[in-house]
Amino acid sequence: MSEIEWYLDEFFDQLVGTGVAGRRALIEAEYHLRAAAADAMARGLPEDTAEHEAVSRFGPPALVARKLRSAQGAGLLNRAVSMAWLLAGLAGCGLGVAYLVAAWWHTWQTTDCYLALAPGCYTSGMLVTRITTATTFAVAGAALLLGRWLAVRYAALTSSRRGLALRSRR
Amino acid sequence: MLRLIGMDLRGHLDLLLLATLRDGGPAHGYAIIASLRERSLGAFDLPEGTVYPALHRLEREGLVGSEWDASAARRRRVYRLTPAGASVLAAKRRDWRDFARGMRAVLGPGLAEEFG
Repeated sequence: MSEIEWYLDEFFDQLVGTGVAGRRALIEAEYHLRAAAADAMARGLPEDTAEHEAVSRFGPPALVARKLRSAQGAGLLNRAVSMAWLLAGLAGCGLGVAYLVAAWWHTWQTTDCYLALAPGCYTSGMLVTRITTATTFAVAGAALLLGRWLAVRYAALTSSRRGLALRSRR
Repeated sequence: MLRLIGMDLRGHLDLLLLATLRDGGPAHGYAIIASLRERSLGAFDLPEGTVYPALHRLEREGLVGSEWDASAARRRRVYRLTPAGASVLAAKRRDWRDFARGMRAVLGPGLAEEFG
């Protein structure tokens, strides 16, 4: 087995679980290694030495696979955190609205609630508690959504897309 | 470890890749790396395989685009600079110029003559 074949087998083993990105990296690695070996042979190196040089310059399979996982994982983690943040904000706002609707229903929509205290009606204390809770949830949810919006905006300004964002603001 | 004559190359790789694509036009990974090596006069000593994850990341960020080129004997992925990538490259160049100016001011005015 040639050294390039051996390398590709090792690389393939290291890429387990990387899906489409791994398959693409494997195709790119094969093209790269064969092109590098062909160039080395064109310089006069024998085939086995040329393959050895190509493989050595490419880097250990575990290192390249780790870099690929890292590049892939960072994106997945960012998306997961962003989605969880969005859902938490929406949930907070939703709970706040639900509490307010419940308070409105049990205070003004239930029969005789504003004439006399009937079963199912809120007392003044309960009403204050429910509205306070609703407001707390709604404010927390809104704060989360605002924070996420600011984080996305700030990240766009400070990440590698900074140039684009700055240019659009000028 | 990515090294540039004793300096850490991480953080500058994106700039180098974007600049190579801007100057050389669309190219596959092997050609990009060969161009980098040639233009740096062999100063960059980096495991070539680690350039591909960087290219994948740049593509996910929308700074480069890519497509398969089936015209060659073997299928290969050709990368190109996007308009967003060109804008980021311009901003990173400005940052680098400011950084270099500051370093030169601190290290001494003779630095430019030493390195030509």
